[in-house]
Amino acid sequence: MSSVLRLAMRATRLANFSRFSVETRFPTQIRQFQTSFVMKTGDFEYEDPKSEDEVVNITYVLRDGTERKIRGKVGDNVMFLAHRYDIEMEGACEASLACSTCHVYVDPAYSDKLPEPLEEEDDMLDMKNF
Amino acid sequence: MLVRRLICRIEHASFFIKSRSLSSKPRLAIVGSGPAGMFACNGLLRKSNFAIDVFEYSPVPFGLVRYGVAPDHQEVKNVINTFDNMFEKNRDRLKLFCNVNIGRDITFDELTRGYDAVLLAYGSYKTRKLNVPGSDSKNVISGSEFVGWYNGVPNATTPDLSTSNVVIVGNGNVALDCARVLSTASSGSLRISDIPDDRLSILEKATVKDIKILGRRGPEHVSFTIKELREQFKINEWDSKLELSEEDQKNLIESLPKLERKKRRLTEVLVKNIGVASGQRQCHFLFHRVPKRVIADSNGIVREITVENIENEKVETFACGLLIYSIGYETLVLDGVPQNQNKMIDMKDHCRVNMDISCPANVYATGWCAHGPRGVIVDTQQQSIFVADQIASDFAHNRKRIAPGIELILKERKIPFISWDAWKLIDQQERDKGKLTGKIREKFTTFEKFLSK
Repeated sequence: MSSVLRLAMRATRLANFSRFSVETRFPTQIRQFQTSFVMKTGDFEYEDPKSEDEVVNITYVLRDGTERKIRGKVGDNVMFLAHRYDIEMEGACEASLACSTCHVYVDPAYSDKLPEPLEEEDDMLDMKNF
Repeated sequence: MLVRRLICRIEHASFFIKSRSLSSKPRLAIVGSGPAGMFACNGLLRKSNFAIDVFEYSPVPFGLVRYGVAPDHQEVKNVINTFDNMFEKNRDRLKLFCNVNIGRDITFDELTRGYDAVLLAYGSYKTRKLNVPGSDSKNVISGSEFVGWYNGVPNATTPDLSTSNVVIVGNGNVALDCARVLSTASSGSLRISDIPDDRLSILEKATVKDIKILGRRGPEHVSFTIKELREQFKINEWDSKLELSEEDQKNLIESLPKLERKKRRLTEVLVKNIGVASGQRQCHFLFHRVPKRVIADSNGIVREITVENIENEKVETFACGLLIYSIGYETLVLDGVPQNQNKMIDMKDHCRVNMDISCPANVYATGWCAHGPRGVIVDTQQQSIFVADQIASDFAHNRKRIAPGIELILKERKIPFISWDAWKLIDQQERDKGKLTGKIREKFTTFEKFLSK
């Protein structure tokens, strides 16, 4: 699968069924980050969906290959959502777009459901050859 | 006789196993509280039942997160919140001992006798020296000394910034951080950061108008990361340019289509900023320059540097009242830790240290002290998680003995340390003091009153 590498903190506004492979190679886990202009705390992800229309089903594929199916909602940030459900995902800069520890591989079939990467996101993804 | 001894040992062992299964956890010492040690620690607390003692040479924790990350990159320091949570949630099995120098206060051998496992994560803090005649002149300092100074490292030497011309030798992010801090301080933009007030006022009064960043090799070999590089070209009132020979320009531009993404994007930024710096404040990126000699004035303060341009073999002289060099680090290998022919820690594999069979503890190393000072925080984090997995699995079935720890030795030797609670007190006071002037925190640079008695 030639998946698309993105920062989990930037993977938001989800729609329908998405698949995230929670880091695959070498040592890893995913880490999360936080962007000051997106949201500060991730509190939003702790709210349950208000209606079925809002539900976004997400599969996190963990490092060991096991799958975790999570009922998220439109607008959830993949990184904070992972934290809510105790899915091992790092996030050193707490979504401030200052590191790339929260990277995920997104199934290409769903990649166009994500917003285009900002230059800053691409810069962070370049920090390391994952 | 032999049989008796064996039986004895087995009884001994089973006693230990029994008592451990009742109350004891295996004990791990981590040397260094920077990102390498703390990420590994976080992973291990999640995956194992280790009781962990963290030793830090500085009076306060977190290594380069506190003392290395640039003051205008505060977001990177958010990771401290993760470490905070880790210490708070694991009070029953995680302890911090700052101001304890492993190698001096406690020897490495004592550590291996006190713990079931030792994880070395102490970074690389020996700067590679600029070995040219005159490099011992005043105001010739390493990038890490300068970074340490503006970041509030206790007892750092104060640089003289009352000069117009600065030369920075080196093409990595430390060079860029130094240049950026020197070029932005006078604008007042660092006032809300965490640079200690007395040091900030020196920075803000700096009169630097010309910075030359020298690389020994060509522009295709720079070790900058793209974010930091972009930032240098965006600084107000400064004109920053790569001043390249025609050949370098041509090669750099022609190389673009062949490069992989990461290198290509960086090279695009380089190419976009080729030119000749002009105006009131200038930053020049110069390449193929090899330092030959540093010349001091009558007071022994650096006045100029002579370099050879190895592209055209011409010798050039650049005026500079401050010379910063950042040409890499050397790893310090603790006494008792095996060393390989590269003067690095002798590793058996990616994380195990090649200890003599008689060593009572399993010894591991991660981060810059294990693999050299390379990469950014994400590299260190990934490596550390891997190491944590390894240690956890090594100890999943292998409970060797019950180690006593070294708190008794600390007490006996009356070594004053700063605990997690003492650090939280410092942390709070620093934040409170910073708040008074609108800063993130006012870093203290002395800690005597917080030391354990």
